[in-house]
Amino acid sequence: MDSDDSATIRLAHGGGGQAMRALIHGELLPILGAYAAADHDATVLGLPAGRLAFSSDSYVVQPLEFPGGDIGRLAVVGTANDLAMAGARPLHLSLALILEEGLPLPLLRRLLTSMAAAARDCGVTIVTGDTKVVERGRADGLYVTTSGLGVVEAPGPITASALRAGDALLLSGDLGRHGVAILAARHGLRLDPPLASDCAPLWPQVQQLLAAGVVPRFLRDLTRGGLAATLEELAMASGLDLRLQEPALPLLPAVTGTCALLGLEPLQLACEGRFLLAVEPRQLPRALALLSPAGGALVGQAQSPPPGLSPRVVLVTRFGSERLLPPTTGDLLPRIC
Amino acid sequence: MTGPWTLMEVCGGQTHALLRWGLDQLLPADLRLIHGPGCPVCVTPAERIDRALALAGQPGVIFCSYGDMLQVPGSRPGHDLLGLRARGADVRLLTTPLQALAVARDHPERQVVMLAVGFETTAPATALLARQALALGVPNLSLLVCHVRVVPAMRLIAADRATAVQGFLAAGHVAAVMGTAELQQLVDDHRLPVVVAGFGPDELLQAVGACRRQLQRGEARLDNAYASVVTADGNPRARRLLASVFEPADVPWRGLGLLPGGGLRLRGRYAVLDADRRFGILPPDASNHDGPCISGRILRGLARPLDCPAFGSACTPDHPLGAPMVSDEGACAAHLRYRRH
Amino acid sequence: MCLATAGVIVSVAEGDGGDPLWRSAEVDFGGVRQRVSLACLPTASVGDAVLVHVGLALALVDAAGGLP
Repeated sequence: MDSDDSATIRLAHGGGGQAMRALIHGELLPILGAYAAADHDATVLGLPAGRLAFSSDSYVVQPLEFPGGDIGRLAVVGTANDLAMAGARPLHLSLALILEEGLPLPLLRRLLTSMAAAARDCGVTIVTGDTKVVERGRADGLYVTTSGLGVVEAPGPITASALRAGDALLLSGDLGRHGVAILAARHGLRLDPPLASDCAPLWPQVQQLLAAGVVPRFLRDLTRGGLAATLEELAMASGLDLRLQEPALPLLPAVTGTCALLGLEPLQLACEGRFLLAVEPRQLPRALALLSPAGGALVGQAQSPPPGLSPRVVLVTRFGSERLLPPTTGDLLPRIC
Repeated sequence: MTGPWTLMEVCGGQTHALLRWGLDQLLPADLRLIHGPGCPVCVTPAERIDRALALAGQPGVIFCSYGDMLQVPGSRPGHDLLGLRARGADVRLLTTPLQALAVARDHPERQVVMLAVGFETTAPATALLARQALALGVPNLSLLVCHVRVVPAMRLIAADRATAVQGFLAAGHVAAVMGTAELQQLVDDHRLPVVVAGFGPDELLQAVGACRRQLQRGEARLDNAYASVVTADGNPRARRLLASVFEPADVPWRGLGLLPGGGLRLRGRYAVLDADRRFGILPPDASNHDGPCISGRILRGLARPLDCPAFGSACTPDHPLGAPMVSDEGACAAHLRYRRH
Repeated sequence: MCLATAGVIVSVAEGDGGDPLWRSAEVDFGGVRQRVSLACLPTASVGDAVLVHVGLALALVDAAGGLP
């Protein structure tokens, strides 16, 4: 394959001929390593006994590279984390790339290298994949889809409906770093001292909790829509009010500062390495002891909603007054008023 | 004297902060706060939004706006700038108007239009953009001016015989530019207490307390409860900049009608930047009709969001029937977001 | 109206020929920095706390009077 640094992806790289073979065998396989199905469209896997978790996610982000990560790392860590949130140890990933004609090859190499490093960090192997190329202007650089298999190690099912009144709500770390890293890059803000995305594998923390005998009632990584979207869904699915102490929410000054400048709600910012954990009260000390060294905190409690009212997320302010968490709208549009 | 007392916080940012911090729960029982018209998103008339949509839909135009205005419907419900972008218009989100200058210089072959909304706090930044554009001779930039002035609206409310408002919390960031002279004039003319208020929860509580004390003592004065930022003289340089580019004009407010001196227009020297002139008459988007929305009464403090039969049912932030449900700062949206009903 | 935030000036860039129209500063808001016009605060300098709205510094903030 072309070693020129100005080389770009061309339509032929997805055409099924020589150029595509050169891309796969000259770039993808050497960088990504263990590609079990290099000579076949399907991979045959030996899996450990037990229940499997299976998850799939697509990744689109601009800019493609941001402080603390890039779309490649995000695509590997994100799907591995979705498995971890089911209480499963991530094992294998598939990787599908949609490349835009004209994507610089050095950039693709950087992203692939980042994926390979992320796979090592997550303890997963990329076992099968696919590459397509679309005409320039038909995609935003590249899109990545990963699917993952993991083996469940949690003792029971982790679902919103398992939540009970009185359960404690904990965060695994501070909120919003990933969202702020992306927003700053988009809106010409400079983070100083530098603030990186929180993009990181979650399985190590989950494994620690499980090994210590913590039984998660609910686990969810706080990606799109951030903590706000997760709480909203949890309240609806469990039928319980979630009552959060606002001063307990861990937020860095740069995160609140960015939100103040852009008029955004920090709880709606995406995280890529944080989760919400619900446990029954007697397990709280054990869970907190494991999470607090990494910045985790007890932030609230589930409780029955007032009679006749639908379940909501209630924030208790530092004045002791209450407000509802505003519904997440799904678009983070900076405002001036 | 004893209450109950009714105060109006004029500024939408204060409405938002009051509900966001649950301050209404901490107020003395003899106090009622009503939300004023201080939200430029809410008071921009539908026909100006229609004009914005028409301009953004012109071939070759790059239309620049703050995020606030992207989802404000014009006279046709559901018709907004984001929807237009989804259908192919080049609509760009800015966080400062000065970015529009860079966009115009990067695309000399295209017409760049900036939707300039906001009170006297925001207008100086637009004025600065106008000055810079003229200084550099950027020929492809124009401004769709929708700037409004807050004190004329306060005067209208104070003069309304039906008004329940007994005192004002004045918008601190407007006063940071304009100073306090025009507020003092309001106090003198209408004999009611006015307190310049900040936006932090503690600042707001302080301002509310100051206003209540005046009412209890039967006083009508101007107090400044935002002295860390606001001086009596405001920012004279910002005011001169503003006055060099804009002059007061009679403009319609959504819900309030034509307000004498209620807005700003470009002075003759800057008329070359006026998007209304540059693009002339465009086919109207639709007829101007506010539908069942009672925003006019809400903005004047004569009705509360809960008085509206459409509140939270037919009218929600996802499907706003009127302006106060569109902006986060709008009285209706703020109520729906933070309060249990 | 008017989301304005207070921050501290960390550096100042004088405009062309000293014209205040183009004078700007980098302002720090607790770890996030934005380039801000000083056209309306010609005497503001490094270390000053300023109130910023849509990229324009509008007022000096008296920190003793209570920075929000």
